[in-house]
Amino acid sequence: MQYSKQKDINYVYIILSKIKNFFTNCNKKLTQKRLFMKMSQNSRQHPCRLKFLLVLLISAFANTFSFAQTNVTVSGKVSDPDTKMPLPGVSVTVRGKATIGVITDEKGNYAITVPAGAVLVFSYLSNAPEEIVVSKSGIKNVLLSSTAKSMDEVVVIGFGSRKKKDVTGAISTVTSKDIEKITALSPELALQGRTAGVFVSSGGGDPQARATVRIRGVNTFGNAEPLYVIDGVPLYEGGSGVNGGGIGDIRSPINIFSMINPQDIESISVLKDASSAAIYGVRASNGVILITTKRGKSERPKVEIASSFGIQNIKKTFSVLNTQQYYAQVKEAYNANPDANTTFEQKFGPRYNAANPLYGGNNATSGWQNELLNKDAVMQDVNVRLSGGNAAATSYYLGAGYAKQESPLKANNLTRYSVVANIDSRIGKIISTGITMRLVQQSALVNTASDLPTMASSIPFQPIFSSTDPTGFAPVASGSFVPNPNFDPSLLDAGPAFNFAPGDPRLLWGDNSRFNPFAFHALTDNRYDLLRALGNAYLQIEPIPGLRLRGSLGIDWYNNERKSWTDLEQWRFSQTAGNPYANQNGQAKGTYGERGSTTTNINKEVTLNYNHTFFGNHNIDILLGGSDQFGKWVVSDLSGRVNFTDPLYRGIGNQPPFTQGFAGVLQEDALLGYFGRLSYKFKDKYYVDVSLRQDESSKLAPGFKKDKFPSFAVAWRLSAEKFFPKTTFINDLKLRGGWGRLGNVNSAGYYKFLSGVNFTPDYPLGSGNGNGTGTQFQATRLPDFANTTLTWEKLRTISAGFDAQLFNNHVSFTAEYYDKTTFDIIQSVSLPPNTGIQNNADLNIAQVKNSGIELQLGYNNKLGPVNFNVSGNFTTVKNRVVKLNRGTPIGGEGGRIEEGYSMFYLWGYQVGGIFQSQAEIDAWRAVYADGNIGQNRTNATAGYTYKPGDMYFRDVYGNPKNSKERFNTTPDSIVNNNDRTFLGKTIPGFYYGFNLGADYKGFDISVFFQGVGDVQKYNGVRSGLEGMGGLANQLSTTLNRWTTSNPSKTIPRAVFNDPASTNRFSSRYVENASYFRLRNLQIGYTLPKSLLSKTGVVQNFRLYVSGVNLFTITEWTGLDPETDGVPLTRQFLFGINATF
Amino acid sequence: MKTLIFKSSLILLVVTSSTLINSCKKSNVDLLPRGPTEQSYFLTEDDFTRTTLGIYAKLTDLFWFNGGPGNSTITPFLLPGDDITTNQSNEEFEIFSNLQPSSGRLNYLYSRLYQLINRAILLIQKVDEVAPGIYKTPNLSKYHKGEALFLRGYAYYNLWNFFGTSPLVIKRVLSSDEFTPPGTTGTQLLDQAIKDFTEAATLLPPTWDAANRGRVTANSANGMLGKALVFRASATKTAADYTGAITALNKISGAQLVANFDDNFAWDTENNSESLFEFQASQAFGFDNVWLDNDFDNAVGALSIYWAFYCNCGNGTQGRSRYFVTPKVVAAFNANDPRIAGSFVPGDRTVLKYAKRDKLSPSNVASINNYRILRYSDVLLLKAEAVLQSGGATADAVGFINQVRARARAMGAGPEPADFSSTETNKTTIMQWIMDERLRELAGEGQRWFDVRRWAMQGIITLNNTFFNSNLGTVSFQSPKHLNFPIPSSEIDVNPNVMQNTGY
Repeated sequence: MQYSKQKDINYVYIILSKIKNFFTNCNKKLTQKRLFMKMSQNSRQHPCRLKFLLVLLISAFANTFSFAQTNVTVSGKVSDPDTKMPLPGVSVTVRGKATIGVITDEKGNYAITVPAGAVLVFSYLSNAPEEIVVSKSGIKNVLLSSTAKSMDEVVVIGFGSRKKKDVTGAISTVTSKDIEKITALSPELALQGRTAGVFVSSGGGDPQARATVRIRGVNTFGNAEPLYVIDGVPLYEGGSGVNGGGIGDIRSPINIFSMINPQDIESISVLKDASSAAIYGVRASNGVILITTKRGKSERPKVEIASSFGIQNIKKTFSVLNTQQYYAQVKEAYNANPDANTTFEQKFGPRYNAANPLYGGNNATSGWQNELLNKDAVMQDVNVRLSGGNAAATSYYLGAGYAKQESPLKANNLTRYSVVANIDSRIGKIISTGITMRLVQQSALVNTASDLPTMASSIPFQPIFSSTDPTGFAPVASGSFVPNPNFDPSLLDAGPAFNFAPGDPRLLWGDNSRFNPFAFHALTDNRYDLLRALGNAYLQIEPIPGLRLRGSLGIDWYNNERKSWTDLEQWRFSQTAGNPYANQNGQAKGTYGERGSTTTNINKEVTLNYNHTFFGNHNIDILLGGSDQFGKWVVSDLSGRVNFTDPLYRGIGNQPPFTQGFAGVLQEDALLGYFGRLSYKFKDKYYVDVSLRQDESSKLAPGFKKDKFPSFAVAWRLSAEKFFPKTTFINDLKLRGGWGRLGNVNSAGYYKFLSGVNFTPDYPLGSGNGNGTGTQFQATRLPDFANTTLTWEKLRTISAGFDAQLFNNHVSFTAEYYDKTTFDIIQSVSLPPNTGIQNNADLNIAQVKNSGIELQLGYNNKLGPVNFNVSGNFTTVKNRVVKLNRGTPIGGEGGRIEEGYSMFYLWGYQVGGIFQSQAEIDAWRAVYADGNIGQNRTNATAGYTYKPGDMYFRDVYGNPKNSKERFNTTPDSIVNNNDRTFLGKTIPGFYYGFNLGADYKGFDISVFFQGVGDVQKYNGVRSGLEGMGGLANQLSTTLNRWTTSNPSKTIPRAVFNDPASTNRFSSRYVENASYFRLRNLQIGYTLPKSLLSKTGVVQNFRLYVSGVNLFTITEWTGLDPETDGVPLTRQFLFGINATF
Repeated sequence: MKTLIFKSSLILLVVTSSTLINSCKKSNVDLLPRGPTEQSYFLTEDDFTRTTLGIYAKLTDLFWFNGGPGNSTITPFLLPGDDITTNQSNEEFEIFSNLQPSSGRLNYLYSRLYQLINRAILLIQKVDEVAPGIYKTPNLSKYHKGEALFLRGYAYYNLWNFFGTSPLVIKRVLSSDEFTPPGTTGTQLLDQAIKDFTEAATLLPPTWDAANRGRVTANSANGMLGKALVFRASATKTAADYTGAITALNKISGAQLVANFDDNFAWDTENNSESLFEFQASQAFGFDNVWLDNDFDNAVGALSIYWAFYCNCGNGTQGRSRYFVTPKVVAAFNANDPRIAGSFVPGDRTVLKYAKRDKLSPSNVASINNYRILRYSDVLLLKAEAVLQSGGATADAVGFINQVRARARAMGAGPEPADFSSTETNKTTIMQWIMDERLRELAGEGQRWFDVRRWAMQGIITLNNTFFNSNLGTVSFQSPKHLNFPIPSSEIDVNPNVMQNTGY
């Protein structure tokens, strides 16, 4: 309900006493209602304040009249304040008198006769009811708040918004209420577990980490990232979808979505099927995530403050061997398979020789992992928002935020400053315009030199600290330098000023000396500074009601600057020390580099929208539009030697050859699309949506650039039918279904239809007669396969489901079946080596199907004074590769893609067991031979000879009989490559989340659980730290290794270099990666209004404590089933939300 | 204020709608890369020269450190023969039994050889199609094509020696239908090498100027042609190949044995008169980053070669065992042979070739010391073998061996190694002399595995576990299985038309 400003404040005093009773009553009642009303703190005035104003207003009218108990007749129109559409079917009743009541007609009109002074209650479906006091006859037009629940919730859709009851496609929404609860700096994590059909895997505890978002399965092996649209600007990221490698390195590890402050977000809509997403055409096949930020509302200025402070910690580290256990194991392993003529002591040198003074076996065990932990890492977030305005004139939302989050590992943190201004303005009746400006500065220290698995493998006797070294850290290598007689700074190829003295550098802790990351933290500095400006301006003209012409221009620009410093001294702490004087003049103290990467994204859009209802019952909504997007990614990189260590003096001088660099455009994209959508509904009963988009992309070859993407959806609201029984059991029921086609071009690389020329190889010529190096010449190579017929990835989706409101609107339930098939999947394929083509080629090679069901259930009710709600969602995914080019599987053991299987399945050997005795070996060898270790069936002495304690593998298949077969299903008693088989699937079969909430007298609690199931993962850490084949430290599980006295059935004996190849990719390391997590537990307390009202300033004040990731139930033996590198942390936070 | 907003809003609408209308012009979505493409390149002869050098550059991958001593593909050249051994337990190229299609080094070696072939094929196509007037320098287009053919031949020569039956690709792959060619049989790969060397010999210049030293010449082509023909003769026992080899080897002109045997393995005497074909190892002008391959970057991509298994120097072998000459090699020498001082230390069997006068790159890991792939003393011994096996004058054959021994003798100015008797006529005896001399002269030069492999095919030697004289007791050589290494899994797993070699 909205009211114009109260002008005459004098009435306050006159009326106050009359309404006091009513007011206090309201206070209590409305506090109880909080959770029902889905009111975000910022979006509406507080209802009690509304009520207060309402009463003032009514009283102002009433004041001139007596309060005689006479009947009055009131009439008016009820409409929606946002859409301005009339609301039919609103029930108008009198409080306390259930017998009096009417319902608004199709134009939203009502008329009712009631006793003067009665309280009219306007309620509509499950909306928050509104009440007004009537004391005389007249016209009362009412705007019924749209902060409604469920079916009347307004959902943001592509190029518009729609009531949930009118939606035909598959859309999930998360609103600010939930988003504000996330403690991550990045908004994608708000989707985790809260939306059916949306799988989110967090990148772990690293604040820079990117989350993985996959909507309804995984459509493609290529770029499976959804499209993000922020306030109408489709985002573009240079290097999107690429982690690691050259492009991944330039893209940097920083998650750019952390540059969108979640606190500024009003809602996130996820468009999951073609009928909802086809309007985004070519970019939409992986789903579309529409982020709508908060805007000003027509209300008095409101200031909100949200602040939280917390700490996070990694819950556990790997248990590894101590020094004594380590020595015992390494020696046992070596003696089980020694090199010829070399004893253990000779092989590994004095550090491993108990008779030598340098022997490390008596050293203390270094706590490598523990030292890496940043205990009680600080998380801090402060946001201030100001919003207000007048819908008829100008409304505004201004926000500023500061956030800092430390990584749970040392030398890594993220700091963000963000400001935002959203301004909307109406000019007269037909023109409205607005602008969104978002400016974010982010600094990230990314200097963590190691991770927990690496630290776990560090040798335990090597010390971390040294009191004698100037850095305070124990060096890893030592060496002295001698001047290089050939050094000539006048030459371009000057050579190093100094060389290592003969025999240097030396590793101080034996061959397996490990680098000292803590010294790296002191001697290197790698940080990123990012600046992002994201803005969008629009103009909308509404010449006649229902017809809107809108033009918008969006710009997203961000710069990512990496600054990296390496001190010259760093070599002493490296296990692979190179000559630090290479390529420098002998005086430099270190190397400094700067790399800038700038992404520019310009998006222009024009849309024409016409919405009209004719003959009373027929409503059409037509959308026509065009969009033109251009994206560019530019990179420059410079590095040079610096003659000082002072950070103030770090810069790059032009000192060839000591300065190196490159600069240029890495990516350019252009996309041109035209689209149209026709929506028709009849009597809110029958719905038809048809859309078509044509897209044209710069990424494809001429003749293949353009394609069309249609969609079609229908819905039927059964509950609106006359024949549908009016029961309280089913309040609303809608069946819906849709079909559509989407495209994806992001899987395609750049200019893959062309053959590029690359200038990076080089070759020297002219050496001889005392010159050993010759002259280096730049050469060229043409590493591409130009695919001139590369075409779109096309996704066909079919979905059908129903939405229901049940049990007096206490329950909302949605069930949906989806079936998606991706055709012509673009795969960047490493071509068979015989082709000699170096770069991966982009080919349309496959067809993949994802299908499953989604369930979403919500329940809310009241139990005495306690309001509570439960909501949950559950999604299943069945992923199948339907067809591959010539049926040829691709991908290796860690992620195989093969017809009939789930994508990226684990492919390897099945463990047979561990030989417990020679008799078992003899029995096995009588039948089998393991070709991988050179055994053959006819010659018992060929290849490796098993010993008790060795692990063996199963013979599953036979060798292929002809070139058409890849293997023969009849086992052949030879264990070899053909016996690799399905070991597990890496795409979860189902995932779910559920939330429990309750409030009582100002206290509120919410508990959020989330989990995934039916998924396996290869435990790479265990394969590295349980193999016992080298000098790296091992997990303490290896204490249970097979020995004659400990006949283990799971861990084989320790053998240096693993001659039985027990560490091959096998089921040994495949584990169940399902988990069930308590993601978030939050307990809050809202100060009573009666207390706040005394302040006269504070409208609302809530305190809360939150615990994140309090427990996880999983069979995964690593640190965390999502990631072991920087595992998820356990967090405790304290926060306040205040409104003024 | 309102009018200002109104005006600016109108401008916005006009801007967006007009640019959108402009977008209807095709040009907006017709972006082109910011660098040359095949269509816009090959306009000057320099473009062709650079592309030719790009083929040579691929040789780097065959011998570089490759980010770890366990990854270097120099090992399959050095280790499988009976001249070099190691203490490294489980070393697949020493004990054979665990040599698998999944071997990282085999996969790498295989793919790099085909990449080299791909680069050569492209250059050959471009030279064949070149428009008149682009080449200004006389004969340069001939030379380029000759170099490409030579290098392709060298790649096929290696593929045959390592894998035997991998696919033959001599045309550019332009369609996805051509990704999975069948494997080959017999000597098909070697046949192609012979064809390529034959044609290259007719195209290549006799010499290059000093600045271009290191590029292949007609001598290189004739040398490799002769060698490949002797190899094919061994495998197929075709006498005509021996005579063909003699003809080719006789065409070599101007090459001679250098006075100092050690100069063949020293960084400061590269590309000398005895050398017919070398890999030009060097260091990039920025830094020799041995973790980044040659293709990575001009400034830091590796140009070096990895000799640390011999020199055991610098950051060296990082815990892996270095290599040694076998006791067999030590025993093969007369104790007074002056070549010993440049080849190995008799006591601990340390390898000295390439290590004695080595020079590390700034990486402190790899070296700039060129790998001599073909040198004239090898040619002389091949000639001896070809003459002997084709029924030529035994005295001539013995004479060629004696030339090699004479150079060695002259270094010590002593009686050893003495000439073999030129009156000996027993072919078996002379063949044994040739085989022994090849072991002495070429030990540790990455030639031995190819030699023993072909002699085993020819039936004049038998390969078994003791033959390899290894430091390791776990050698498990199976014949004929191990004569061809397995076709790597990177090919087998994706190309259904290639059959795995027998036994794997």
